[in-house]
Amino acid sequence: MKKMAERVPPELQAQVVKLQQLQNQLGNLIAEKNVVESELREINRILESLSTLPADSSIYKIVGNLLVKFDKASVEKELTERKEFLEIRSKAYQRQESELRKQYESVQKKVNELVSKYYKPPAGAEKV
Amino acid sequence: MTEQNRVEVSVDQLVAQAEQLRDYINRLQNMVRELTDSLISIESSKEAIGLLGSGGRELLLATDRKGYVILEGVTVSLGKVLVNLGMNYYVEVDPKTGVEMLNKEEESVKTNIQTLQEELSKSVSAYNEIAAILNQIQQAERQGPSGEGE
Repeated sequence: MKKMAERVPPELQAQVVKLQQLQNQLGNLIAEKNVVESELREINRILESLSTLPADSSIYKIVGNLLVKFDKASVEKELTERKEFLEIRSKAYQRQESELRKQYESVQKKVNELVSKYYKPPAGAEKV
Repeated sequence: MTEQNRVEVSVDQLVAQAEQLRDYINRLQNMVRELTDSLISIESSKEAIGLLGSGGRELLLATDRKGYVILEGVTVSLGKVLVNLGMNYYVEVDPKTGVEMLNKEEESVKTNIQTLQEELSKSVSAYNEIAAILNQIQQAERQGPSGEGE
């Protein structure tokens, strides 16, 4: 008797490939989302620290091998703009993730149905 | 027992799961190591501010990381320090504020280490469970099918 893995019906194989592709897409998306959310957390932390400092505080930024001086207000403005941009991206990633998860669940359901259809247990076989 | 309560996984799947967990555990351990290094650096910075704050203290200064040349110097009174805010930003503050900021950062790092340690503990437990199952399978294979020749 041939093993199940040796002759997978094309219909099932196509769905399994689709499932793997969705899994990869989901993995990549989550990784990208994590990077964005990590930067957002960092920005929020910096903005929180800046809020406790006097308005005339000198802020320096490393640019190459130089420390360039900025005033507090311009740094807060730059970070707030970056934060807003990242928040939009984060929401977009969340929407995409939700959509991909729905697709994944749908394909997984199809795969399970096809497995049940093509690989029924032999008649009289007892379920443990 | 109902079908729902029974989950069947192949040995290959278990091995793959164990490898994934091993990889995850390594990543967590690296993160804990990095954060522990940060903690040591924060401690050193606080100590340096405390020692150099008053000025007039003799010190030796290495001109490079390997210490090929070391210069002799004397500290002046410490009026301002630059504290790292993150993302390549530094803020110029008085030493007292600098230490306060470092204390906050230290607390944050400690909390992160604790969170990672908890996650690490869970992952190691899961890995050990899978390893034990694989061990049992290996032993069963060595002993051969039971009741042979009956």
